[in-house]
Amino acid sequence: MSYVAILGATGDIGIELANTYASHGHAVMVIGRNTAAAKTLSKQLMAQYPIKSMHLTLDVNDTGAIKVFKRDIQQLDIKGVVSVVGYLGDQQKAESSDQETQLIINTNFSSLTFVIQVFSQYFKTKKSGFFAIITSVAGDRGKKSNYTYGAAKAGLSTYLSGLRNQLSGLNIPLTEIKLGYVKTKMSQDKQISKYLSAEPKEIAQLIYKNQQKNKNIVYLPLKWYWIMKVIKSIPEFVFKKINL
Amino acid sequence: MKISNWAHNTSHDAELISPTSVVELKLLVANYDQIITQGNQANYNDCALAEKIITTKQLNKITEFNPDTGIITCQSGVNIKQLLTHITPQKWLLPVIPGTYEATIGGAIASDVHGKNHYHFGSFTEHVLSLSLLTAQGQIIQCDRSQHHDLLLNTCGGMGLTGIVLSVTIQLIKISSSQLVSKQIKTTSLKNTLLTMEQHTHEDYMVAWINGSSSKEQMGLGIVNLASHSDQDKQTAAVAPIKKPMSLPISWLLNPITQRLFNWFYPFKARYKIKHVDLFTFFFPLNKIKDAKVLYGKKGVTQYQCVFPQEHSYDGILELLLLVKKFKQTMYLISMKKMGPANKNTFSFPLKGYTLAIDFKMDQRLKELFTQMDETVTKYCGKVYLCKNRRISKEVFQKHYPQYVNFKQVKQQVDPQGKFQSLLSQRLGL
Ligand SMILES: Cc1cc2nc3c(=O)[nH]c(=O)nc-3n(C[C@H](O)[C@H](O)[C@H](O)COP(=O)(O)OP(=O)(O)OC[C@H]3O[C@@H](n4cnc5c(N)ncnc54)[C@H](O)[C@@H]3O)c2cc1C
Ligand SMILES: NC(=O)c1ccc[n+]([C@@H]2O[C@H](COP(=O)([O-])OP(=O)(O)OC[C@H]3O[C@@H](n4cnc5c(N)ncnc54)[C@H](OP(=O)(O)O)[C@@H]3O)[C@@H](O)[C@H]2O)c1
Repeated sequence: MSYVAILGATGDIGIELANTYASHGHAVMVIGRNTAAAKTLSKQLMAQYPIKSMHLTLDVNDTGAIKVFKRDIQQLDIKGVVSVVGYLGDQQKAESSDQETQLIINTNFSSLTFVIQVFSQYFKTKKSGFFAIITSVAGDRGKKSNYTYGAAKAGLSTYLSGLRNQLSGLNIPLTEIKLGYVKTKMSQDKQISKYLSAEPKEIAQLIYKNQQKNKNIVYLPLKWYWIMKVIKSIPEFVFKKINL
Repeated sequence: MKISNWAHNTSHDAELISPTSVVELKLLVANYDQIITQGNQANYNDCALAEKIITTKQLNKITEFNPDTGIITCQSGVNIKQLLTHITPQKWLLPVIPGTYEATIGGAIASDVHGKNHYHFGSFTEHVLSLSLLTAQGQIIQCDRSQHHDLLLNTCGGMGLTGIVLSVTIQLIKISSSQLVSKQIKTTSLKNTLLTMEQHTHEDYMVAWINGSSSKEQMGLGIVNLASHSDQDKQTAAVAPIKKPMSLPISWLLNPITQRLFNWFYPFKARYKIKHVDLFTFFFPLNKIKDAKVLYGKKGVTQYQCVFPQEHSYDGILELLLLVKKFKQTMYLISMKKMGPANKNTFSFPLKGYTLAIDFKMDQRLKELFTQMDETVTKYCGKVYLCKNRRISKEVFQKHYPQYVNFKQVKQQVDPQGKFQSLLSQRLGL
């Protein structure tokens, strides 16, 4: 039985993604840092859909756990990995706390690349597999409210572009999904216009569709492609004065 | 999906889960509240049936074999056939071989199976040096005679209720040849059958086939089939090629009349014959048949197997055979084996004496007969064999296996939520 691994599956978008893959008949490997939540989700999937599911515990910032994880997955049949892992953090706090800065950068970028590396090696040995990695439109241009997070996501985007380049021709497609606002616990404190924010379920289904089509880079919802085009085109001397 | 056992006497709607690795097994098991392990369903009851069944079919690797010491380590889903094919060319053999090569090593441990040489080598688990067990809490525990001994004693013969046996290390025995010299001796009465068996304990293997259609006075006559490893190998190929099992339904052939004819004719054919046979022919006559449906029709077969202590073997066996006769039920196959001393496993079946196994076509009217047979077995201090028995009551079970109390204590420690449960365990309140 080959599984789709969902990394960070216990978050709002992760739960919807796990359900979407399961509803299309895929066996789902729920990976999360909270064992109890991962188990609950995994059992819910098995109860609701005629599929196999299992759960694994992994905190991407725990290097020891990554080692064990690397060993264990060699004995499992995984056909693809979808990563939803992310941590918005608190920009203000990060400005005075090294710890918070580190947590934002590690969770969204450095630690995550270690895990992606593990899967990349695994798929190369298997000569098949796919990646779908969630990044953010925040990586397209830094703004004062979340630039540490944005920079980490931008770093990840660059990393993914290089990895896609390396994997091309090896039957291992890599889809990057740049998300705009989604109504989740990550964005709950923000005042976002209804027009700009999407529902996690709708987003999960779009991610699934785009991954299945082996797209390279997609903005979801699509309008964010245009929004970011505009935002990126604003000259820096203007942009630095905008309150974003 | 409907899952049934080899005997086809019971089936259950179940989800079958087939992991390809120990890691996957461990992760999958964590997600179920109730589950039971299945080897190959080579049993006669509901011990490997539940709503969720995990099968070890794909965990079938032989991981280590030292041809100098005869110590072998394999995963629990390796079956007897696979193991024998691997070891016999090097003149090693499993000390204990059940009557079906389909049984897996995990199943052989969970039922603590015996062979036709219990009086020499005891039962299967007595040759297990160590095993690893996945428990309900997701721990993998290494059990042997020095660590976790109590868990070992309750896992061996424990019907899969303490956890999932993952890997097993076994001490094999050296043999002179995988060819056997077999003899068949015709006997004239039960006393004569038992005496003949007592006189031939120097032989490596022994089983008696009893004629169920003989008169009351002669009840218990049959043939004693003896075999010992030959001094030299006659064939270069250690194991003769295995023919594809028969799957043509011939159940219509097996009826009380043909059975009487067969029982009458078979001893004649036997007289006192010596012949060379290969291992598979001797050990696995029933594996020529794919499943019991072929022989016994849709309703399948049920077996009544029990054991009596030496001093009560004659009386107990005779009383049972006459009881069946009184009920006018046809006995399709009757076998008797000599057993050596019991071991310390909580649910191990064998005890020093004789075991009797009778095959019946499934029939509702057997209920009353079996209840009376249970009483006879209890009266003569015997016990029934769990992996063959489909219906004993909790009360009878507790009388035959009074150590169940010890089992319950161990179960409480390793599986307090009762994750590993089968229809059998629910029936017997384990
Ligand atoms: C034709 C025939 C002849 C037979 N002859 C003999 C004989 O001569 N002597 C004898 O003693 N028995 C005999 N048997 C019975 C048979 O050996 C046992 O029923 C044996 O347990 C079947 O093994 P299996 O691997 O098919 O296990 P299953 O039938 O699938 O399961 C049997 C039990 O073992 C448990 N189990 C299986 N694998 C594991 C595991 N990995 N970990 C934990 N528990 C596990 C199951 O939960 C269940 O309780 C015979 C059966 C048949 C069909
Ligand atoms: N919501 C938005 O508006 C928005 C916009 C753009 C991009 N995104 C991106 O979309 C993804 C999903 O976000 P979301 O809105 O669904 O937020 P979320 O619910 O907070 O999901 C984030 C997931 O990452 C997991 N995670 C965090 N740190 C981890 C660690 N160290 N190790 C392992 N897992 C860790 C979380 O685990 P726990 O469940 O245990 O907390 C959670 O499952 C994120 O990458 C986010 O950056 C979201």
